[in-house]
This record gives sequence, C-alpha cells and structure tokens, in this order.
Amino acid sequence: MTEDIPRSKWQRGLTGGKTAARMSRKTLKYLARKPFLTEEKRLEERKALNRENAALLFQGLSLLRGTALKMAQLLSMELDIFPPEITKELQKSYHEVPPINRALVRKIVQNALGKPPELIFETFESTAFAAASLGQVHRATTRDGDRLAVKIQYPGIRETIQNDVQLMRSILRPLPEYRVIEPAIEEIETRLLEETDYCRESENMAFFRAQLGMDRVIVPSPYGDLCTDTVLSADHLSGMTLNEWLRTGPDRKKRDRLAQTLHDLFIFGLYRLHCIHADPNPGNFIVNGDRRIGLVDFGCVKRFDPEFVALYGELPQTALQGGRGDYIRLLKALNIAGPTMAPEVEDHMFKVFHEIGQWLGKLYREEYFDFKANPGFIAAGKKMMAQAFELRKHVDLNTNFIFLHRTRYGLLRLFEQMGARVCFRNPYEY
Amino acid sequence: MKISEDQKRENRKKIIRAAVDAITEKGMKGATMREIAQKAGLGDATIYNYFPTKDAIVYAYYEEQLDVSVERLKSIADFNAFSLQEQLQAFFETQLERFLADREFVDVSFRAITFSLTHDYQYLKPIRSRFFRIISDLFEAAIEVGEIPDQVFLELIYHFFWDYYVGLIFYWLRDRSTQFQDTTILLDKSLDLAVAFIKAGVVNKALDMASFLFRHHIVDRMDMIKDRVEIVHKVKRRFMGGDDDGRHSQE
Repeated sequence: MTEDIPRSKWQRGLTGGKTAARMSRKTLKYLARKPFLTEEKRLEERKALNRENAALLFQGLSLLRGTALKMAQLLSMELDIFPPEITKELQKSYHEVPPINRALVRKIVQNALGKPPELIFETFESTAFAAASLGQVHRATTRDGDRLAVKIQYPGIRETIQNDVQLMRSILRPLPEYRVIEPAIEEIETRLLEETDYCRESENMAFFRAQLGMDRVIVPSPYGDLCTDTVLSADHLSGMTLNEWLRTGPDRKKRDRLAQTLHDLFIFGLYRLHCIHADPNPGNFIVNGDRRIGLVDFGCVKRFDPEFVALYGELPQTALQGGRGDYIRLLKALNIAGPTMAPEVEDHMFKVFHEIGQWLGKLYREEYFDFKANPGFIAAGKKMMAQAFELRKHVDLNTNFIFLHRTRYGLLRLFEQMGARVCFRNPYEY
Repeated sequence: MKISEDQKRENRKKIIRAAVDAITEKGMKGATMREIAQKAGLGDATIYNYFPTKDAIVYAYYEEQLDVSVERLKSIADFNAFSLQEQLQAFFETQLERFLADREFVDVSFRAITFSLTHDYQYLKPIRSRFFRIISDLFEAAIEVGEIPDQVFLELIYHFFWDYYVGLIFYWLRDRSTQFQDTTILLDKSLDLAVAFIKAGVVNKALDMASFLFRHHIVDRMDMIKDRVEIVHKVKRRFMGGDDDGRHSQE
C-alpha cells in the first residue's frame, strides 16, 4: 500500500516544513533535558535523538519520494553533513521508499509497452524485489525463458523533479551560501533528469556491455524492444548486493579481491573508455559467487573528454613528486584553477590541493594500501574535501573534476567500509 | 423468423458498435436509428427488436463495458491477492482503457447518460446496479478477510464510488497530459486517501460520534425540552386564542 505522495509544489513544501518543525521540536526536547544528564547519558541521548530525527527525516523524505530524498543522499555522500545515524537511515531509504502499488505497476507497463504485463512477459512479479530511489524493479521472464529485471518509474516523475528543484531553489535562495549551492542544485537536477531517462540508461548499459570486456565484471544486456523512456528491461543478475554480501562476513581475501575489481573497473572505465559508472552506491553492485561483480543502474554515467583524462592521470605523480610550479600548471590546465589568480588565492588553492594530493598520495606510496591498517584515512580526507568544495565560493571549479572526485571518494569510502586492501597503482596514474 | 440466442447476442453487439461509430461521427443528435441499423447490417425495423431507442443503445454500451472490465479483471492471475485499493484502482483503470478507443463517443454520450434524472433513469439503473455489484463484491471480500473493518453504511460507500466513477471519467475526458497520466496519478492518490479513510473506519466513527452527541446533548436535554414544550403550548394557545397581548395589540 503506498502512502500518499504529495505531488503539488505546495504540498511538498508543506511536507518539508513539517519535517523540519518536527525535527527541531525533538532537538528542543533534548536541549531542555541536556543540563540534567551525565556525559555518558548525554552521548547516548544525542544518539537516540539523531536516530529519531533520522527516522523523522526519512518519513518526510520518503513522502516526497524522488527528488528530495535523492538530494539528501547526494549531499550526505558529498559533504558528510549528516551524523552517521542519519546517513545510515538514508542508505536504508534507498531500498525502502513507499512502493508503487500493483494496479499502478500494470498501468505503467501498459502505458509504456502497449499491453498489460501478462500479455508481454511469460511471468511478471507484480511486487517489486528492489527499489531504486526513483523507481522500482520487478522480476520477469520473457516468452523465451530469459530472466529479466524490469525497472519502472512513477508516472510524471520528471515533471515532479522540475517542480521540486524549483521549490528547493526558492527555499535555499536566501541563504548566504547560495552561490556555492546553486551549481550543486543545477547538477543534481541534470543528474536526476538523466537518471529518469531510461532510454539513455539502456544506451549506457549497452555501451558498457559492448566495451568493458572485463571477466570479473558482469554488465546486463538491455532488451531493446522492452525498453522505453519509463520502462527498462534488462538481464536479471543473480547474487547479493554488496551490503548484503558484506553482512554474510566474507573473509579478507574475498573482500580484497572484490574491492580491487571495483577499483580496476573505475580505472579501466576512466582511462580506456573515458566513461565511468558514477554511482558507487553499494546497492548498485551485485556480488555473484564471491568472484564476479555485476553492475546495475546505469542512470548515472559520466563521459569525459580524452585530454581531460590524460591531464587528470598526471595528478598523482605531480602531487607526490612535482614542485609547486608543476602542480599549479596542471591545475590550470585542468581548468581547476583560473588562468589568472590573485597570489593569495593561488596560495590558498595550492595549500588545499597540496593537502589533498598528499592525502590521496598515501594510496600510491606502497604497492598496497590497507584500509584496516589506516582507520582514520577517510575521516582525514573528509575535512580536505570540504575545504575543496569551499573553494567554490571563490572560483568556479571544473564540474568534471568534482564529479570524478565524488565518485572516487565514494569508492574509497566503500573500500574503507569493506576493510579491504587495494592496489591503487596503475599504468595510467602512478 | 426465429434466430438463435447466439445470433441475437451477436446482433446486439453489432448494433452497439454501429451506434458508437455513428455517434462518434455525427453526434448524439445527428445519428439516426436507420443509419445505425444499416451500419450493423440489419433491417430498419429489425433494430427495434433489440433497442426501443437510440439512448437505450448508448446505455447498453456502458453496461457492456462494465461486463468486459469484469472479465478483464478476472484474467489477472493474482487479482485476488491485490489489496482493496489495488483492486479498485485496477478496475477503474480497466474501465478507462476500455473507453480509450471510444473516447470521442464517451465524450459526447457520458454526460447525457449520467446526468439524466428524468425518464431515462430506468436505463441508468442497470448500469448502476452492475457497478454496485462489482464494488460490493470487492468490499465484501475485503471485509471477509479483515482487510477493512465492517462498515455500517456500505451502501453509502458504494454510492460514493459511483459519484467518484462519474467524476473520474469527466476528469479523464478533460485530461490533456501525455497518456492521460494526470488521471492515473489522480486515481492513485485519491484512492489511497479514500481507502485510508475506509480503513480507519471514518464513516463508522462519524456515526459513533453522531450517536454520542445525540445521546449526550439531545437526550440529556430532553427534560429541559419537555419544560419548554409546555411553554410552547401555552404560547400557542394564547396566540391561537387570539387574546390581545404582544404584537397583536400594537396593530
């Protein structure tokens, strides 16, 4: 049974406001009790509060379904602005948005493919087995017996995205940081619209399937005549999502091997195909028999031009061994730094990027980098990443670069979560 | 000449189809019985063995569509596993899908049939009772398995859904969005709300509330009213008696 999803701008605005109000009420309650609590209890209470707020936030966001939820997820990945309890809830929400009901599922298939599911597929499970943040996925089999995963989206979601983003803009415009937030919102809008364009997604999938050719990575094949802009049919990949797999407690060797595969996939995509799967969410990786990894969700795929990629490849080397002059030149060539900058801006920029370079450089210093042995690695990077994003206040950073880094950072966080040992050295970088 | 039942049913269908085509082309007023008979390949007089008026054919169309929808729903393998809301939603969507091919015909005829409260009411009745049978079957099944609480005024709910059905079709006829997706969304959201109300037993509760208020405020004050009643009587007697006091004297 779906909850009522408010669709009009006003309603959604109100839902957002309601959630905010409820959260601050909870916070007030905590502040009122704070003086009477011991240190230990206080920490416990604070956690409980975060959990409660997270639950409330989730309620509010899941009512809004698509955009707001997705924005929160993106922001939480990028900026680590939420405490871990909230992040956890947000991760969970990937799989727990209110489902599209069975009657509507039939209608969506009918609209997209011209006939109800039973006349198109040999079997079609009317209840979804997985939820995407902007749709849901159903198991089906073709008349020839092929097993399919059929992804569908709520009707009119694209119009809703545009309305929501407009709403988000009007809410955020008065903020002093708006200049920094604006490009992010713009990017998120573009990205959400891309993610809901299933024609594009099936093209991306077909591209990776044809070009990738890695034994350890499985790319499903799209079924062209069963794909439209709102319905996407592709091979069903058997296995567990990365999260589920990690919960089964796989041994060290297996985790290392899988993390290495993910990293190799990223490097191969970037330097050979100039195109990456840019959504390193654990739900998008399907572990198949401990050795192979299946890639799903090609909604977020980013292409780069070859010159940019070539220059980007020089970064680790330069950061570790080059002097300040080389570094600045490279940053300018990458369009990260502007051609002319005031000396103090250049100083600050160099400082920030030098730090990031040193931090990332650690990955390459030895043949293998062990996330278990370096538990503070991501935490240390968090601050630097935030500083780098702060630079947006002063200069227009290259959006390709930001995109790339976000994906990379997402992968590193995943590796840390896996406690894996990964070889980062590769022929293209270092 | 005697013809078989099958042949009769077949002719009936042909006439309905012919009427839909004729009315789509020429409108409710423009299409004639003669023309419809010809389109259906029947004699000018034969058609009256089936339908006394053009309107009767139009009503028969809507009856038929309800029957076809029921058959369609039966063909959904796991339909009985659907929730009440999903069943209702599938039913309304199926109806709209049936109407889609004849959208222009529905546009010109639907208003005429649902808003005629005079002599045509006898024709509307079979449509309504078919509709109620479908809705009540779904509701009774849902009550049997405890999906929704027992409802005090089921009839009232069925009537609500009839009005909903009429409103939905008017909305759909005015819907200009791609693939009428606004109607789909309206259906999804509004049924969500309606079923939530029904699940929460709002009608039952409203009734409880009303009876509580009645007992509390009306019955408890009965004694007081009793006193008043005598006053009213007194006033009346005096007034009817024509005694001269109050306004009377002023005139």
